[in-house]
Amino acid sequence: MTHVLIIEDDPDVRESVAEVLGEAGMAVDAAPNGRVGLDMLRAGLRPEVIVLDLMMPVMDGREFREHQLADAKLKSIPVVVVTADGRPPAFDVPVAAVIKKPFIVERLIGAIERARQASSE
Amino acid sequence: MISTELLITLTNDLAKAMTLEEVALVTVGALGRALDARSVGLWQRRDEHAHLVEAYNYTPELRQKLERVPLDAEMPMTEMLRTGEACFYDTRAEYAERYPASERTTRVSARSEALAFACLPLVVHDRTIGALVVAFFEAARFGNEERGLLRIVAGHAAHALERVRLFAAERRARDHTTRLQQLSSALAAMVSSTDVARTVVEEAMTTLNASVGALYAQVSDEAMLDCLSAKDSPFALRYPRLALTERFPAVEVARTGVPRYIESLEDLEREYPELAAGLRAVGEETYSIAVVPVGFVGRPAFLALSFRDGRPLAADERPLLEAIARHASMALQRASLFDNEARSNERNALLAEASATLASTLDYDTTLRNVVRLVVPRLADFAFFDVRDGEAVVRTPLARDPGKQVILDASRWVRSAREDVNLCALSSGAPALHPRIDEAFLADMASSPEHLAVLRRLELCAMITVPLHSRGQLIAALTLCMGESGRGYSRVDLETAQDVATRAAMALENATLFRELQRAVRVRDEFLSVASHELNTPLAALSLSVQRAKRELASPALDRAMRQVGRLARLVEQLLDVSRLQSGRLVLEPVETDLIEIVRECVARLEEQRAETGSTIVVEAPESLVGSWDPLRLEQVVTNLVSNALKYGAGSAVTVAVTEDGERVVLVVRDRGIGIAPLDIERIFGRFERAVSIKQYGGFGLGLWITREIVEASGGRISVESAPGDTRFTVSIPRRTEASRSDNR
Repeated sequence: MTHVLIIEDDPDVRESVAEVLGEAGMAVDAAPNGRVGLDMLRAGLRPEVIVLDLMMPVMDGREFREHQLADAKLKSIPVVVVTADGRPPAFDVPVAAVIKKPFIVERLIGAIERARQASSE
Repeated sequence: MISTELLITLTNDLAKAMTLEEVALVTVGALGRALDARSVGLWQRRDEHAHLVEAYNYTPELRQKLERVPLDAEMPMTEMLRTGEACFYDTRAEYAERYPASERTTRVSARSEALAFACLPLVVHDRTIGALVVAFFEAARFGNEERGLLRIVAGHAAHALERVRLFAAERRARDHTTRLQQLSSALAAMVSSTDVARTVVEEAMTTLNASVGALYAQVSDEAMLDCLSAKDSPFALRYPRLALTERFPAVEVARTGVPRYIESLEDLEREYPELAAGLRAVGEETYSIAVVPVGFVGRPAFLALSFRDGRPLAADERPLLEAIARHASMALQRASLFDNEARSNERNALLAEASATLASTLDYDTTLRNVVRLVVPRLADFAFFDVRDGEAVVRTPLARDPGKQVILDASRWVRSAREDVNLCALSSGAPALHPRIDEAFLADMASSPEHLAVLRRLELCAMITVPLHSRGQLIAALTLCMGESGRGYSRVDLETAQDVATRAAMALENATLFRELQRAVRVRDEFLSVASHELNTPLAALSLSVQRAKRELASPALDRAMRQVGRLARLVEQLLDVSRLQSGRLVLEPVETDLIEIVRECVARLEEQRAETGSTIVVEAPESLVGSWDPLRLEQVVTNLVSNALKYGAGSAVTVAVTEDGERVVLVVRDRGIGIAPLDIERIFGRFERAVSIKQYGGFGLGLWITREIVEASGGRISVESAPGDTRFTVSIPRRTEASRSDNR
């Protein structure tokens, strides 16, 4: 069972995604912003894939990613970015995938699976 | 007494004599010995005096007494000089009777008193040039023969004296000519006014034996004469600048162009008491002065020489001095022309550099710095560039001296409180030139004691300020200052500053516009980012919800809802794209991309639309085709063309064919639908090459316009052929796309 952490500020999107992924057979945890997500990870949560929104209050996706990469215990968890921004500028350290909102659910699921497989190799 | 032998010997010896002294020595010696005379003396007549040149058997006391006798003295010799008549005294008693005072003076001792005298004039061309006095031990009777022979000797001596005088004069003249030629050669090589001045002063002083020399000339725009060179002159040291209105003989000479020779201190005191006083005050001793003009058209100048030894300039030396002056004048003129040309070249070089440098960048801050860098240190020791920015004024200072830079960095532009003195063109809107600033002006300028202290520390001694105008507005001011170098400013400098300012104004205008443009673009991009997020977030939630609902309930209504969500999503994307594209070139980020994979993905994504229309999509393409393209943009192109083909294909088969053609790739999307009217094709693909606006695409939506923009930005071309029942869109793009940057960066 694939364990996923969703970090997304919009509650409707967060709930929908969690629901859909749950129905696809994944174990889902959710956080409303980067700060909370980071706290959860530091408290010991170890998802196999992180689904990350970019534009969030308190701590946005890029800042979260910086903190994640700086932490030896967290940096290897693959990240799938889901964003409303049509043309996000590139990441210094590439993420597993970038998916534009709105999206077809299968696309996200496919990206999560590929990311999980790639990182376990 | 006098034999022909004596005459022959005397003649020979005189012929060998080269100087006045030699002639005199030969004469008195020969006469004295041959005649066994008591004594012989030879005098030269000069300046209303008789000067003893040489004597035979004079005691030191007698020599001293008779060294320099005024012509109006009562004695036989002087009377003879006055009348030109020889006189003979057979006995001393005769002499004493005639000239009792003189006899007493010249009586040396009671014992060896001369008893007879012969006084002979030395005459040349009817001019008495000297005297010969022979004294005998015995009373003699001068018979005619004796007198005649003595006269012959005097005649020989006179001619010898004249010969040596002419010889000396000729040698002096040749000497002068040689020296003038040397001076001319030396000056010919010089291009600096100070070098010319120094050479001229040294040469004049050496040749004419002057004790003080100075050359002053007008070198600035002011009505002043500046000392270019001076030697041994405390006066010149104390007064390196003289006003052209000064009542000094030298200044008058410079103004009028007429030489002046003041022969004595008394004359100087009488005519120019202030100058005499000034000379005394600085301890410069003067007895006579010679001043000649050395200026040229529009540039007065003088060369002044002063003689301390009490001997004014001889008459035959005046032409020499005036010749030197002419050479000096020509050389100064040449130096001035050379100087003007050099400065003109410098100025042109500066302006050319200004144009190039200022045009090289649109960056606002760099432009401000470039302006001050252009003028410091070439045109100023330090400068300010004050620019209006809304209500505030931004100051960019630059100084040659780092110490001064610190002071300037702490300064700010303040509107001048003084209305009457134009200190900054940003206050007045007008240019100003302050060629020389003195302590009094500084005190006037300062608005407070602290301000004055700062001005003093900056050593401000000259200033130019020029305004910059653009589109009728006063936008900035450039202020140039001279400080530690002590240089001044001229009208030409003001013109140069104005030329620099004109170019700076254009550059500043461009940089300002560019900065506004950059701000606008940043605002726009921020807006787009936010808009994108705001529109896509609810769309995402909506999309997911509909997807979720469809899983629970199969319903056509939900299918429609899903399609509309898709459409809405595409529309939002296109709207944001168009927004970006309208104001700048498309931004492409090419990476290694497989076109065939993109085609397959697009086709897969359009499955629902395909199913609805009842069409089929056939892909005719190699397994893979990798090139350097922006994948997202390529996706847009393929999706748009295939989607259109499905829409207008009326259920027919849609073909997507991809082929290679050398360094290009060709994509053809074909449908068998309703076709496109020729008028529409012409409208969007006809003569209008690049400048096709969105309005022309009416009916086709935004998609085709975006597609064309992307294809052309990738270096490719898109075309269409259509007839009812057959429509083909052909895209041809190079395999490698250059990464493009929006010109808004």
